[in-house]
Amino acid sequence: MSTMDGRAHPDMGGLPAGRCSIEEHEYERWEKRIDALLMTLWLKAGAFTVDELRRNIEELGQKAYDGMTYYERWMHAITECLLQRGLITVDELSRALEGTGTPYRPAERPKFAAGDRVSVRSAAPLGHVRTPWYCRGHSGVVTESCGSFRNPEELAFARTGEPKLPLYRVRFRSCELWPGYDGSDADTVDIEIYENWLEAVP
Amino acid sequence: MSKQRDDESLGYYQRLEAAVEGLLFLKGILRPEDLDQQMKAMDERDYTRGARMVARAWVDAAYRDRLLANGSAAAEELGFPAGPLRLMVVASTPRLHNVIVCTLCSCYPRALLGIPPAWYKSAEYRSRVVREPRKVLLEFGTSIPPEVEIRVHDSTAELRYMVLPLRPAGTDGLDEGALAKLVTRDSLIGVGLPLLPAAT
Repeated sequence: MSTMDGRAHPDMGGLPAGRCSIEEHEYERWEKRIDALLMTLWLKAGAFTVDELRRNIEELGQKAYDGMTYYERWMHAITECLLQRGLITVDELSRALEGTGTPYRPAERPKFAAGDRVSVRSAAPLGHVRTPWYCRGHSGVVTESCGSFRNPEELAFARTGEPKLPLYRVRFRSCELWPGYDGSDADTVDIEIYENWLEAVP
Repeated sequence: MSKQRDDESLGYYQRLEAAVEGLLFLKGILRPEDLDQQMKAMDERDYTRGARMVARAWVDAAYRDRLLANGSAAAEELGFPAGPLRLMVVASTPRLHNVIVCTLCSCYPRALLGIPPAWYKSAEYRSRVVREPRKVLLEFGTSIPPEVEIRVHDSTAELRYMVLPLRPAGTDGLDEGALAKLVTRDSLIGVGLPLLPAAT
């Protein structure tokens, strides 16, 4: 969020910097769309305040801030604001990104049991997620159904985390997770994964 | 400060925009027509609105007084929505030159003038114009004599600013429409001066 002396990175007045580039450039349509999205959410829908947007941009940290374009920072912060306000959930967002649309609802009982073959969704939403990147898109076998727990994606935003989600231990073959894996074909990795990230493998 | 766009990052935020937009429509938080309307409204706004206000102030002393007293009302008077924030118009004089910046982010009279230029949001402009405005202005080709005070307005909070530049010499015979054509976007921000009649 800030440099070592407590100065927030975007608070840059007076710092040394290079020559001003006075080149003009026309924004792309998707960038104008982000601009319109913010203005409409702020002024028309009253979804959040501009200061919430600013705080989320400031909290990117210097490296991410400098690594992103202007409207990428806006889109990141708009999404964070919507998640923080509970207007959208991480699960809804990840499904919208996948283009599937069907929201997850836990059933009465866990959908999977030991021995079931499952695949991990390969979504990449913003927000707090407990499914490691390296297993997304891969298939494994359920070794244990561990009970149901409050949803960490919701708890991360200080919400109840209800309804609870079934949790499983899923075993992956290391040689399938890692291209060029140099150990035994029998080697495995066991990962705890919540049900909303799993799909049945036919 | 802006990086080279690589396809991967461009792709992700573009897809994120489409996903979030679709989700907001699906959940009834926004309507597609609201977003389309906003896109259209922003496309219609540009600095020529400010230019018309400046030209009016150059020919009409009473309008100039109203413009400096209440920029938002003076914009509305010409039919230009000024947005929810107070627009303050700062007049440059032969002894004072005004410049606008937002060092903390990118605040700009966007309701009136549209989306700010890329350089206005850059680390270079935001960092330096408060500390070495004369050097920065030179990079825009604008030289301000040492005897003229430069006043930088940092838009840190609830006000938005526009400069009323000094009317160029040799424009006595020009009407309001011709004067408006001399007013550049950069002269409304203060990094430039209005064009001279010969240059149009």
